[in-house]
Amino acid sequence: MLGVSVDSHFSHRVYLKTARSEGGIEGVTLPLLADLGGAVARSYGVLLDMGISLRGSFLIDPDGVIQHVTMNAPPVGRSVDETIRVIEAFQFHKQHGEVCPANWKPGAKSMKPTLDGLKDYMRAAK
Amino acid sequence: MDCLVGKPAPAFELNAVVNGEFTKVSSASFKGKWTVLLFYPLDFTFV
Repeated sequence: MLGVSVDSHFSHRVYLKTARSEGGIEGVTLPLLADLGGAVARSYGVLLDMGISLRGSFLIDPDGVIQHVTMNAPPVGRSVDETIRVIEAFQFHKQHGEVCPANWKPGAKSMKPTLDGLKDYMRAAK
Repeated sequence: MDCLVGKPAPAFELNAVVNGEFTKVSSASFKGKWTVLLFYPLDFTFV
């Protein structure tokens, strides 16, 4: 997990050391990347005309392929729970090959991606 | 811009702060791991 904004690494360093009550994120251990100029935000499609980034989240699999994207306008934060749920579901799929229906969570029933698999899943769901 | 889902993540190398130290982070270092890249507008905003 990595954070990226158009601030410098100098700003990031102070942000990481500033108390929460002062608007900082002291205690956070996330690496913060300095995308000065916004070239990386632009390449991911999250750079606003005013030069700052949307709240964009990109899940990248072990082969370097993007599996999941969310983008929020700046005023509203993301759901950490949903981000974790999606990571776990993609990892489950990669490991077991079965697919994860809506609202799937670890431990819930998954589905073989076949007609018989669908029938099994729906029978169990009754 | 086209949707990026299912496509290779755009490559980059950036200055970064990791464990309080200045360093560089390259997208090449993500290979073999699940990675979440979180873009946010600016340091010290309120959300």
